[in-house]
Amino acid sequence: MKREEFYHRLSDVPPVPDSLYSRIEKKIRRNRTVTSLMLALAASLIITVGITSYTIYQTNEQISSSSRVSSEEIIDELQTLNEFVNGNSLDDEMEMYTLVNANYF
Amino acid sequence: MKELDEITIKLAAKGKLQAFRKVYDHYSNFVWKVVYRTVNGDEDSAQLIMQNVFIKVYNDLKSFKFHSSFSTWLYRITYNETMAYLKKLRRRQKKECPFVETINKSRENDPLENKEMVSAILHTLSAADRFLLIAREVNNIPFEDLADITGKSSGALRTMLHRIKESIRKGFDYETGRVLSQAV
Repeated sequence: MKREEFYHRLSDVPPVPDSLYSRIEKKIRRNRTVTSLMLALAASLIITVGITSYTIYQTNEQISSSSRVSSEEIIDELQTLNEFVNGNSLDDEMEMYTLVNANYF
Repeated sequence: MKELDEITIKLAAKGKLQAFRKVYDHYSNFVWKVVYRTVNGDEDSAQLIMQNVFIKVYNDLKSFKFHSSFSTWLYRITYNETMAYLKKLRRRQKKECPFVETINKSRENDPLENKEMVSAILHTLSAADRFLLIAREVNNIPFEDLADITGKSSGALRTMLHRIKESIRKGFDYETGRVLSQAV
């Protein structure tokens, strides 16, 4: 074999097998199906998590609104507490009772 | 090589299998030659690499922006897939190619047939050297493109190819078909 012939023979290879493309296409289709399934699964998971979170949030809202104390009540309570702590309330009451008793007797 | 039209490549990038079939038909011979010779005629390995190459081409076509020729882009994938396959094979079997044994045995004494001779000569080269030799001598890929594909400078590749040819010339008697020394 001559040197030139060697380089010529390098390109002398058997033809590409006929079945090769069908195998490639089969793998591509399988990969596409798997990808679609994964995406569908991920989407349903996201939707499920979203719906569940919303439902939980709504339930919590309902519970808290039913047990919620109005701000006016809180202000009244705080006012009463403030007067009691500072002693204003006690003095006023003592005074009021003294006056009532004086008139009575 | 004559490139396939841009419209077909863009359709294939959109996932159209008919267009992808055209891409395969146009380039499969081109890829097959280099893969088949790089694995030194192991058809099973060559088929597995071809599958990996074209599946990767299908998956990555969207990222191809036509900055280089399609064949260069395809050649880069072929190079990477071939080298990755051989690396995996080497790691698994602790030797480069399983088909080498038969060639070694047959070439010890008798002059080789032309077909065997090509395999025996190629066997003396590393996979990367075989790839370079086929890319240049068979597929006529320009050195600049090969530099882009392999990540080496075109000057270095020219030197490598010269060294490969020298080692083939010194290591083999073309007339008698006998291996003179273990080249490279």
